[in-house]
Amino acid sequence: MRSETGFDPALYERFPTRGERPEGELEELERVWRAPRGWRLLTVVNNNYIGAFYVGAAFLFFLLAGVLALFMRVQLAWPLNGMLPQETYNQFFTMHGTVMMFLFAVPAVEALGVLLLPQMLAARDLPFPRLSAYAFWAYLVGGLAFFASIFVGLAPDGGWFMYPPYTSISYSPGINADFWLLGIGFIEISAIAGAIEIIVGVLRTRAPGMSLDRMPIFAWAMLVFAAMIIIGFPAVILGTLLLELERALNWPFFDPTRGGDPILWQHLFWFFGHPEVYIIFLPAAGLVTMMASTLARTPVVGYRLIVLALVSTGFISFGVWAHHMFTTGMPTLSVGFFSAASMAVSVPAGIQVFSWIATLASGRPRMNTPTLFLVGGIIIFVMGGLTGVMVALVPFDYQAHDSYFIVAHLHYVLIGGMVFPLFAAFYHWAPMMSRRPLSETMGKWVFWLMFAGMHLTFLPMHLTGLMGMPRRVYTYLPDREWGATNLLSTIGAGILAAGICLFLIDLARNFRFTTDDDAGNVYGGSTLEWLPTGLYSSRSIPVVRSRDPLWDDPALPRDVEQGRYFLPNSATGLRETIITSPIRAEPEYLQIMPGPSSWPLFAALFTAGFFLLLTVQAYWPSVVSGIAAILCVLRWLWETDRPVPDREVDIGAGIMVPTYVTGPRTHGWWAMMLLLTVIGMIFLMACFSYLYLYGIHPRFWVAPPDAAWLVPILLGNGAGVGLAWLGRRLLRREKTRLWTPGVLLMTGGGALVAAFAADIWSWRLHGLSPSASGQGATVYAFLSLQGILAAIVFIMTCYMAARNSRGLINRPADNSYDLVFLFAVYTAAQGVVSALLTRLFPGTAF
Amino acid sequence: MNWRLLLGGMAIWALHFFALYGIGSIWHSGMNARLLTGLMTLLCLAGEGWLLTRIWRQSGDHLDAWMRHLSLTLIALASLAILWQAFPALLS
Repeated sequence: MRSETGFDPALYERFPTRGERPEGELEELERVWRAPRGWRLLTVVNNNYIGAFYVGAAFLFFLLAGVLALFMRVQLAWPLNGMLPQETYNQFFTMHGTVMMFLFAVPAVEALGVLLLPQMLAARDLPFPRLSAYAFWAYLVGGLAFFASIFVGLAPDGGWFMYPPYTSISYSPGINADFWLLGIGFIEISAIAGAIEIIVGVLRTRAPGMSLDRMPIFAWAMLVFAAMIIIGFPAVILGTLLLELERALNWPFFDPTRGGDPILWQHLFWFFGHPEVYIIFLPAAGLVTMMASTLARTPVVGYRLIVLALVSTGFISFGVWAHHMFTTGMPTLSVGFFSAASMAVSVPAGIQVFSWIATLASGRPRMNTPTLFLVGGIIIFVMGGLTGVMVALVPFDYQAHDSYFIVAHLHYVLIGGMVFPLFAAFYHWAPMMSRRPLSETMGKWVFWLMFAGMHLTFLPMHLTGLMGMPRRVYTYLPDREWGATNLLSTIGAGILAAGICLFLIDLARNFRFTTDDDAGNVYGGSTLEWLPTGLYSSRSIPVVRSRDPLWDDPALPRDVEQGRYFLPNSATGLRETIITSPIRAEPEYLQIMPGPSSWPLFAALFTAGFFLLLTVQAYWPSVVSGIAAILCVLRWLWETDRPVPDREVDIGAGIMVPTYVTGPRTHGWWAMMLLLTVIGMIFLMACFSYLYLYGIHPRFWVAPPDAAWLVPILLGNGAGVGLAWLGRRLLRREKTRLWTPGVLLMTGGGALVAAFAADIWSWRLHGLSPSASGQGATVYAFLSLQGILAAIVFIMTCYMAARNSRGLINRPADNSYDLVFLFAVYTAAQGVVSALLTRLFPGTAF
Repeated sequence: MNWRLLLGGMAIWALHFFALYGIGSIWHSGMNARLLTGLMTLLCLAGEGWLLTRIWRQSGDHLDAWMRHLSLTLIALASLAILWQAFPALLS
């Protein structure tokens, strides 16, 4: 067997170890990982709690958005019904779609990742527990405040994809649209934080021996899911930023009379929006694969093909965004390309479906509640997939576009692809965190009510759409003959809701949350989350020798519980987990993890305050809240990345690993590279917007400032990187006193700010106003992005200088320093590229 | 085996797709667009072929073999998708 890191795989043969473990070891582990009690539970960061809170919050938003849907269905039950006025109806359908997509679907699967992944991978926790806590609180507070806007009539009303010009200030002058733009932009931060956490967690905290070919399919699915968030979400973040800038400051990105273009919004939104469907579907597909195997009591059929399907879906789903825009008048050839990609993406989805069917067929599935939800979900998803292939055909899409046929299609895909698998997962994994499993009898009632209700609601909607009923109308005339199918849909929605109410009763009667006294492996699962666990995850971290370790080694739970594998104790007396290599999962070093803290909670509250106060145009309080949020984040970081007394520790069977490692193989470095990818994607989308607007309206463009301005900009950015690099070099010199690394880094940050100042000054002197044209708006968008980055670098460098002055920088290398250095290098690179692009293209050639 | 080889096949598909989007946006539906689409398709299929020969020669333990098979299947799927993607320009 080859090695990835120099670790000798023969060392795995030392496990399980023999002999008794020292007394008090388990008690020490429990003490280290103990959760705070009472009100201090709000400061908890452990994934068992945060994951459960997260799932609960996502389900709450599912219920809230479902209630809105019921109101809508009653309104549409018969023609000219007057229960909901038109404006309220507009707010209801906008909030229903927005909440379901942004506050339920993505957070729910991310929540399951936070809850299940550490246990599945046998990690003590995800690698950045405080980030998980921050992401959760930001999502909960932001989401609730966003939803509350509906109670005061200020909820957004432009549809869940908020197309301008309808949502521009001319046609939506109230702050309703701002709630959407700032609220959703803010919640995306939470999603991205979770995605970074999940990628690093899956690739770096797997149990030793869990190579890529032994990873649970759910971990593969979450890996692709999180990578898609990193690539896809920046487009909508940029889009919301641009639309908000247009609304607040009159920068005409989407105004065709001044060189903007409303279709640009559609490109930005759907570059996120269609992959979003797969972002929701893939984790659910991962759950389905794992449950199909467990419930049929047989290994997954076609494991490699499923990985192939997940990876290829991750790519191809980024080639289908414009199939939502077939009717916008794109060039015929482009329409053909997107149509072809839309059909191609059904191939990997088909592979997964056939694999599930084969797995269920080759085993002996029991028809219990999770199996029913599984099979029901597959049936619904296939029906939605088939209508998806229909609307991928351009001529058919022209007929069905914006009709109820589309509403039916998307609900079939999302309910079959995500909601039913989620309910299956609730029943399947509830015994992992509840003292009692959920009721089988009630579960079957829940399934049949939901299954029948779902079909009765959405099957007739295909017909309603083909009969010509457009989506988003609040009522219709009696002579259109849409009444019968609409009434059927409303009755179906009631039955579906009855199923969900019954599920709530089941939860209330049987679900009793616990972290250490759960009902256990009721369905006979084969993966590591079914090991006996506490807040520290499993007592010791096993060596993984197959894909179904619990089936292949029945003694594993006992040996793990008796501490016969890796890390049976707390080696440093602190919270810790083993960082392993990304492909072969070989132990590399011990990560020291932070414990409970109130700072992530406060940071989330103040971040939410910043966005909400901005929305209601309370600018100064918003700035104060933003500064408070930054201070809270810095305070939370201040306690981390401290020197550890033991440079190396024994993680079991005499295997020694370091406790502090720096450089490209560290988990912090990986997280920073992912964050920079997110920022890089935002920048790439800004570049696309710039080039797109030039391509559409070149007559609005003017010559840029003199190219001589490039000299101070390039020099400033170069000096910033050079000084930061020099500081990093000087860290190795123990005796450096003057020009310490901290001072050099801060001076470098100052140079980046100066380069930005030169850039913005050149445009001010040039006279191009951001409100003058699409060119002005995009140039100032670049400057805004650069200004934000330069300010962040400066704050980070000041923070590092403060750590330096308190002797909190590790020598000869320091992780925090490395990360600030990386951020500074990226900022300089982006500053140079944006300065060159806006000056040299199109230059004077127009 | 490494990540670059594993994801290389689909990365070439992505390159091909975005190139086609660019071609369609700049040259719309004329003969130039069709010729460029054909050229880009040939280049990308050649890229897939080159990747295939590199991976074909790889050897190692069970994990390497698993990743090798996965990479080859991804290349096959990507090549098919590249060809399929070009049909609107080449066949219409």
